[in-house]
Amino acid sequence: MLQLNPLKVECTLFFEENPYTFETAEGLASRLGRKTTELAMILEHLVTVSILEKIGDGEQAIYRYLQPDTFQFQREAIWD
Amino acid sequence: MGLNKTFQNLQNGHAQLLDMMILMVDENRLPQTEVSYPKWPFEDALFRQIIELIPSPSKIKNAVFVDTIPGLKALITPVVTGSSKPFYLIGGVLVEEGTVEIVKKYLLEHPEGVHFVDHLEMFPIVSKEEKEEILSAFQQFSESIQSIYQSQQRVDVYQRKTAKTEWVAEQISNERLNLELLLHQFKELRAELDFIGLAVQKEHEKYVIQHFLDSSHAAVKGKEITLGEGFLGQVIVTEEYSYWTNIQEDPRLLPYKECGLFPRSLFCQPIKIGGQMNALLFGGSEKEEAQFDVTDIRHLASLIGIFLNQQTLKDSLNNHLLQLSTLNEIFSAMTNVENMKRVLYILIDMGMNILSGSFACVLYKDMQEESKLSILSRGMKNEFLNHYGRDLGKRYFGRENVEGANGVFYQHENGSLVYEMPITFRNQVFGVLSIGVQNEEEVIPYIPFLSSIGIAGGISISLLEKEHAPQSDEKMIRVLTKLLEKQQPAKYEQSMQAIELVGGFGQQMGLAAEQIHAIKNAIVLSSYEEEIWHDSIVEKETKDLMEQYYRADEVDHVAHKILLILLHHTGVKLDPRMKDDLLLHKFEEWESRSHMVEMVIPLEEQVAAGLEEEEIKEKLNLSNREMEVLAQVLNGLNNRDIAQSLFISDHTVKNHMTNILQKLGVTDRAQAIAKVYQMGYTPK
Repeated sequence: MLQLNPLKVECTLFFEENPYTFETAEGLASRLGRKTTELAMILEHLVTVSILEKIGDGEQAIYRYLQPDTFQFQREAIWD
Repeated sequence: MGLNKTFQNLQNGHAQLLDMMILMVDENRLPQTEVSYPKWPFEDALFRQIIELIPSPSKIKNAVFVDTIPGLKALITPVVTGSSKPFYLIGGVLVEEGTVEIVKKYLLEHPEGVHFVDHLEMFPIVSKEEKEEILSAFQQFSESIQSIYQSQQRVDVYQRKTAKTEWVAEQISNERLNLELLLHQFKELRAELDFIGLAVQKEHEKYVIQHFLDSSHAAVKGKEITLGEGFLGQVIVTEEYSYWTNIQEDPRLLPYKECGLFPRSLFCQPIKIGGQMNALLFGGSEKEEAQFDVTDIRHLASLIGIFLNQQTLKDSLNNHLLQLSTLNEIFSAMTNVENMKRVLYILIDMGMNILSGSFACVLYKDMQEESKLSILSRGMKNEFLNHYGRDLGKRYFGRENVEGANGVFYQHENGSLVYEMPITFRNQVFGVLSIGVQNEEEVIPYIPFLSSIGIAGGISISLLEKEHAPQSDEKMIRVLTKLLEKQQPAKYEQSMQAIELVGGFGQQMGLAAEQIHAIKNAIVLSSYEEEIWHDSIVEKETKDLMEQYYRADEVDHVAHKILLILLHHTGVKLDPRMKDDLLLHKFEEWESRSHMVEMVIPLEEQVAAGLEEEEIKEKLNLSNREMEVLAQVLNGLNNRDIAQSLFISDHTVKNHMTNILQKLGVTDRAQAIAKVYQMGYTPK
């Protein structure tokens, strides 16, 4: 069954409100007032679904927000 | 009055009535009552000696006379007490009419009898008929005791059950109860139960044993029960109480035996919540073909039903509270961001988060470019997105308006399932969010929540649209400016230069933002005949300024003066009234100063940039060469490119890179780039 994960929402909203943040898991934990261990799995999941990008590995790994891809076409074109 | 006292009184009464001593003992001949009706003090002890001589009382099933010593008769009858071991009522001693002399002779001749010879005369002598009457009366007495005992036992059990029920009710209201405890309490009161368990619904036709209590600790927890299979699976089908006995040889017992359970009797009661089957209560006995109290089992099932229902409600309440606080956070974030795209990012990411989707997209109509539709996406391939985006566009932004704001499930040709939800507010569709999902069942509980987020998104976008909507005059000014650009390019250029100066000079003169805005509008409007725009201007400041411009006899307002100065700057002949105005001199001074500032700024920027590079170099303790290499890394060059651009070998670049990474405290190039950017340095 699907479960709403408040920490995942909190973490995602943090990056959405601060889209140019580059932060380590530890730094993020301190900003959100959470434990690094609590965040680790959530950050990994957000990387898997491409909401975040992970730069580097280990404790020094830095996370940053990835904007969704953009695609555009003329509105009239869809009526043809 | 206690039960023992009742027995004693009854026993005393019957002893007097039958003219003999009576005593109740257990199976080990230990007295349970006092000896009734001893006529002499020593008779008590004598009677006890007689009792010791009764051969194995446990074999006696009805009231009988027993010869303790040939000729000396004792009466004995069992008192069946239900589940516990029986007691025995013993009466005596009697001698049969016509046998006194023979008995006396026997007692004299046998060592075990000598002791009783002297008391022989005290024992009542009864005829055969009297003997029968005594036997019958004794049997009735035993049955009375038995009946009282069993009634009392039922009362005891009832009282204990009532006490436990009260206890359970108290625990439920105190929220301290758990199912394990409830089952334990039930089992403890029922000796016939060797085990009891509860299987809770996991999927539509599958149940899992979550609670199990027994003495042998059989490994039953976690076992699955499927529809129609085995004893319990049958109850999932019938949804009715079932009882099985003499099942030792039943093949359906095999899974139980594998777990170390060997039931001879088994029951199973379905538990329903709101008419829907939710759990199975089962139990059994390994000792004998036990009978279970169906009413008791149903009461327990009802209690468990209440408990499970309470849990479900509690979980649901918690989930709703969680959804509410999450919605609050999301809505707050949406109203904090400053453009539509950011609202849409939140919608995509939250949609994916809530439904654990692996892909999502949002199709939307751009605020600035209404003729175009845009898609933001995560995890979707371009060719699919192109096809799907057009399909979505047709359905949500086609010629026909979308009715309602409800989401729908949509199955793609490739089999993937999405949940599509329009982002609307006040019947206006801003976009549509589409999230890839596993199945419909999982999504259904979250639809109201998703709809709320969709509406929150719609409200946020609507607010942003209003904020960014051009002022009513602005639209017209924009058209007139465009026209000026097409028809009088030179005039347009000059007007633009003048408009650029308004802000700086107006501010310097202490004008309010509205006045500066009005002067900018006036510069454009003054290029046209008044009748063209007169009826369309709504902004008061602009209207007043233009009124002054055309009709004022005196030039005494600062905004009016600045307008005349700037129009002169665009090539219009200077109003003679402004010729010696102090403001004109101030403007000239300000303008020349501004030019100087413009000349100075680039130099300052260069100095600042140089310092930043120095700072970063100093902060990281980098050599000049290392700084050069780092700058190239930040510009995206690889080792080979860096080597070529700096005229050094690949190997040297590698050495520099190793030092740089070490000094930055990172392990790779990407981390190095991120760290340097984080420190605030941007390569020139």
